[in-house]
Amino acid sequence: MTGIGRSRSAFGALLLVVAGCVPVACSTGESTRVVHVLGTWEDAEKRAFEDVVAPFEKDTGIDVRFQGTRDVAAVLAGRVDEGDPPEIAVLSSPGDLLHYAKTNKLAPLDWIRPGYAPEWLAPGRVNGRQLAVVLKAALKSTIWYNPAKLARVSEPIPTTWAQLQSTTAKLRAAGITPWCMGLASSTTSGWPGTDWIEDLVLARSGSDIYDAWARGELSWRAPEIRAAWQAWGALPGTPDTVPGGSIGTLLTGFDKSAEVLDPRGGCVFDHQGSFMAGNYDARTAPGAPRDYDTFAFPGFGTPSPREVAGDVAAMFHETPAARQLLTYLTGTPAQERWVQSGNALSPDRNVSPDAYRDEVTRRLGTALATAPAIRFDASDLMPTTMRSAFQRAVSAYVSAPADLDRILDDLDRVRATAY
Amino acid sequence: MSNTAAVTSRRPSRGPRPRLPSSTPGRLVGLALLVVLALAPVLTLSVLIADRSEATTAELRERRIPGALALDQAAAALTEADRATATSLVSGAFSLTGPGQDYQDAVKRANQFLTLAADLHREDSGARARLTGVNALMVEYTIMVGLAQTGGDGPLSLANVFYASDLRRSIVTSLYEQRRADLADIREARSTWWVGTYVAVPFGATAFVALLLVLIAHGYLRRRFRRRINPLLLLGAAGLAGLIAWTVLHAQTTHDRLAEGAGRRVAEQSALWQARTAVHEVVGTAALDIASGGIPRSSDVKAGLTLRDLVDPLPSAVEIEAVRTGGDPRFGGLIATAMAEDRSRPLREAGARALTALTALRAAAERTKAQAPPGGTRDGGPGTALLTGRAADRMSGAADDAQAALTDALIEGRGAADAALTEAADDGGLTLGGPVTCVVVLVLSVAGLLIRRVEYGRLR
Repeated sequence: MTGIGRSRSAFGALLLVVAGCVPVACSTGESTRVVHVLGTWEDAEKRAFEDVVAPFEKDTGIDVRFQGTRDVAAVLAGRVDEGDPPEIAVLSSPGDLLHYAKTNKLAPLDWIRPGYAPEWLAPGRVNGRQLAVVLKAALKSTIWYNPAKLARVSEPIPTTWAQLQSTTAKLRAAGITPWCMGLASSTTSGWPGTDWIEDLVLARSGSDIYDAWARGELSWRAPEIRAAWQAWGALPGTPDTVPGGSIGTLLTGFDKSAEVLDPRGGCVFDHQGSFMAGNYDARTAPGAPRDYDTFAFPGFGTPSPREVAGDVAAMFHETPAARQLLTYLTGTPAQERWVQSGNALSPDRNVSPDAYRDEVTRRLGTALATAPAIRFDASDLMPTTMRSAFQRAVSAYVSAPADLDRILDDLDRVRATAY
Repeated sequence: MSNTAAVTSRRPSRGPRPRLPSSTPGRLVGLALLVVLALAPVLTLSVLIADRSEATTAELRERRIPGALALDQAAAALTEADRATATSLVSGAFSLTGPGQDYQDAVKRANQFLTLAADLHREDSGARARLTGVNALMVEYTIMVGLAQTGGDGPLSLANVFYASDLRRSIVTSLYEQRRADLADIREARSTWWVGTYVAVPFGATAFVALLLVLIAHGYLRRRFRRRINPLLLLGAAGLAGLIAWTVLHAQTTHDRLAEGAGRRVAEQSALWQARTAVHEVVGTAALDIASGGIPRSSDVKAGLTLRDLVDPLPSAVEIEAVRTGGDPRFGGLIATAMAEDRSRPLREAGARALTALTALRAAAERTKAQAPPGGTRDGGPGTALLTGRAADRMSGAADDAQAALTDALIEGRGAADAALTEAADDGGLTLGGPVTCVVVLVLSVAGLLIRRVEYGRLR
């Protein structure tokens, strides 16, 4: 064959090769270095997480794919049943993991060594094994308030429950609605009420009672628990104390930042965790003076531990990439990046207070780090069935306060089988 | 016929550069080989184009499009269930009958559509995970409605119906997120190289090279053998030209039909299903407003669809008539989106009927709101009859009329979409005809050349 002939045949062969290769080139396989994370975070919290993992993805080439839903427990249960769990799931309630721990669905995390105080590792420990780890923390025993509205009744910041009740009465008498309350939160509606009751049990009755109750060793009809229900129930049950009264409390959502910041109406106090910082900050115009502040949940004369909470991560499908991600997320650089978002506090003792974005979160972060004693959110530690019943009981109680005895009896029946 | 004596020619040598075979028989064989080599990619591309366009169309028609629309259908059915629950609550029948038969039927349909969607997304791990989650939330939703029933018609029932409704919005949001991803996938699939008009460019170029080679061979034979034409080579060239035209036409038709069936019609049907969801949501929200005395919904749940999402602003009767007779919609919203994709008479008729029903729906909603007691009612109090009545001037009746019109539009749109996709899937005989034509061209061309080779040998 001549040179021209050879070159033409080569061209023809090339065309064949190209024609054969195009369909292959058009399809791309999914990267094998992918970690799927299922969690509760949406909107600002999801963006904060994506911001935290961005350097990790850049440095390691691992693709972190996050799916966020407020109903994470239900979604996770469905996926585990289908045999398609994510590598990592992040839950607000360590108690939700008990079932998976019992059925050996979780990979042990004993190798993880974050710079946390020991009490922050306890919520993820089941039968002596570390099966989950806190990724970000929240300080629950916190009341957000509007200083300008409080100043109208010339009252100091309440430091005791009695003072808080007195201030509430004065605000009411001045025609200012003292409290905001909203229990609606999709499948977990009622949880803001559980936080109230937990804070009251802890502040009024102390750690031992609180721990026994959280572990299911104390009856719901115990006087300490009943008193906490009644103390909280007096607020939505008293006219002009909460916008919309009982029905307003039942039907509205838990984010009351807009009402607290409303200069003409709304309310003064909002019992919520530190995780609301982002919501309050987002409603404040850049450069504008801050119309909100926080104070610790008042005590009953004796110092009490602060109630805390945290989002805990568990590994349902262990891969090297997932291990790398968890190691990164529990490390100080990631923790500092997280607190900069304003949506989280860190349980890491090495995180500098300067890492916090603003004065409010810095104070909350410092309070969390320096609290002499902490207690994890009791309902989050309870088994799922008990926690769910507690949340529903809160709504039932607001709906019919006179039924408290029956509600507590029902909760005790659930307790008998849930633990 | 002219003399067949070969005319030899000498050219000055240019050093070691490769040369064509110097003898006429060698050149004839070389040309035949080149024609074979040039036709091979033409044949390959022709087969691939027909096969890939058929496979892509089948994938869109049988999996991706029904998968995306099943999500819209599940959202509509679930919202219908929510509407049934809310209207039952406000009517005062809830403590006796619960959410009612309409709720049961709608939940069954929602589950069927969700199962279908999950089946059609089984090869997409991300979608499968999302739909598994949605399925779990659907179970939660029915549990919450069941819990609401245990509270009779008291505030706890109302609260649980509110919570269930908020959860339903979360479910619909998830379904719509997946639907958006699916529509992006559909767009990508119908824009792939194999079903684009530009697929004809490399094919045309390859076939043109082969055609040029056949014509060059023909010119060479004309010069060497002093004949005007070589019928076999010319027939081969004509066949090749025909194949180019055939393939280009097929590519253009496939592209156009896919743009219609998997583009405009899918957008239209999706908009119509969303419109159905919105109609249910408008009635359901109004019912919950009456039941609660107008307490605003939970702030952490994304806002649901409203009448303004359906049509904004609501056109006057004159404008609706103009739309019916072919005028451009002067309003936005889902109805306008659907009409923008399809200006056919049946859709205009259905659109006008839906707009008329929505006008009645808005009027009934305003009267309902005006009559509703400030503290709310859950026992069939003032405003309830205007909300639950099935006459055309009541909210539920107007909503039913709007649903009927939207259903008619969907049926029409689905028929047109199916027709377009069927046409896109039709290969026009290219799957078989392309290779056969290539082989025929090959045989004719090689025969045209080798006959001369034999003839040349006989003369020597």
